[in-house]
Amino acid sequence: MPAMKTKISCTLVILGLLLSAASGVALEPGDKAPPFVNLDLSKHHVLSKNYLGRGWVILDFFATDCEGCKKELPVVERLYRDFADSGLEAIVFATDRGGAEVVAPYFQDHPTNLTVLLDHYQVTVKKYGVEEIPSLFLVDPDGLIVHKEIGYTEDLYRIISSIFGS
Amino acid sequence: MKTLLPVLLLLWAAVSPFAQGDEERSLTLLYSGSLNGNLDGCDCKGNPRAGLVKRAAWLREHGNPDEYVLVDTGDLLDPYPDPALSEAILDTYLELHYVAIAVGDQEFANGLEAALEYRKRYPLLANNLTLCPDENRCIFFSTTAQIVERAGIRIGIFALIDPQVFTLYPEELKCKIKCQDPEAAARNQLLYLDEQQVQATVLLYHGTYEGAKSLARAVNGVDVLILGHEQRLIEPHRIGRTLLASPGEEGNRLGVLTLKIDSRGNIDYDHHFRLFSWKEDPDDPVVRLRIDRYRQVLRGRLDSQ
Repeated sequence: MPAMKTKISCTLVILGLLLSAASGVALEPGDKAPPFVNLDLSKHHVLSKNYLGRGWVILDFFATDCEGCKKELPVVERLYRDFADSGLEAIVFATDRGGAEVVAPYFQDHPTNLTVLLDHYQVTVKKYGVEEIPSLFLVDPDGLIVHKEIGYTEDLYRIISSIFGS
Repeated sequence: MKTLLPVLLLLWAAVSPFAQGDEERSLTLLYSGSLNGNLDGCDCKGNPRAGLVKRAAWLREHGNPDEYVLVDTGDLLDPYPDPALSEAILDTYLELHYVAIAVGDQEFANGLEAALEYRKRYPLLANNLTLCPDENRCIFFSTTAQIVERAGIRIGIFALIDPQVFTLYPEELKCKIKCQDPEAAARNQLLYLDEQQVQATVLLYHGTYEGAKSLARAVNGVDVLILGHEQRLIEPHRIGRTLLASPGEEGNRLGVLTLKIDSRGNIDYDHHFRLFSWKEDPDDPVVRLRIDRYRQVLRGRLDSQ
């Protein structure tokens, strides 16, 4: 019975988060990062409360058929590797509408140590007002967006690492 | 528990969208498609075209845009590049209060950058289309469906484009256009519209009749599917729960579909096509002026050559 209650509460939390999806208001530095709940590639629900407000987080919106996203991913991996000791987490939202069928084979061929979440219904895309990919948000330990990068830029590593440096 | 149930039922009845009575609500959906750049018409025997100038006159005379929902299934632009003509057509659509225009392949006639510019200025919709203008970024053409309210009914409108419509386009354009699977995208949009508690859903599908039929069979929850691209004239008929129709060739017709929604959400309908004639229908003066201005631009172009 307690297990049943937990399941029901979990479902309600997930439904609530889904229903609170904002529709396309672009977020800017200074805004609070909205909560999210998405499936990972093992089909487990991942809740933002385990990340946001707990340390630095990079949120990277990606798609397997987006060239700029593919260029950006190794930079995010490098940032994660270099700053994991400072508590940096990095989450990749795979926005492919084909979902796990498309995304899982891609990451089998291109393994990553980043947390990959499925956003095939683009619920998190809408919450963050993402219109272009790649879009990257750096969120500080208070859960505030401190930097947003739209499109791939070769300066990405320098920009993000300088924020950590400061 | 015995007393709680009737109280709960009464409460539900009070807050339900049809609480004001059992009356049927009706909503008029006006739809067009495949204008193919015919801002003006032509009394050509083999291929008569009424032109947007006639449709515009009828729309201005016949109604208050707050009382109907006006949509288009795409290919409103000429297949050949002509930015001046394209803007004249898109400006007219905007002025006529179109709430959603599905993106057709011909909307890329002036190139990808022009299509991205139109996306910012006009109510163009494509919920499974991503454009990658350069190798560093891709842009979702539309992330959300359109939701409009008419006569107390919330209507969700979304548009999908069949990837096959780009088959004959040049490779340099095709490699910048990504179309996601229409079925997956339809499910995605329907989930969103369900959350938004719409009472009717309209899908503008730019693709083949076969594709539209298989989409209607595979995806549950589309009330009306308006088809464009192949220029077929299709009277509304049901495929499962979905009502499928298509307005035919050269933008000559306006479909007038009145949906009647009962208190249980069942949808019945009345329908007719308004066929416009270049000879018999009056001109819209604003569009005629726009045509004259466009012709001046053309003359200027010819003189400078």
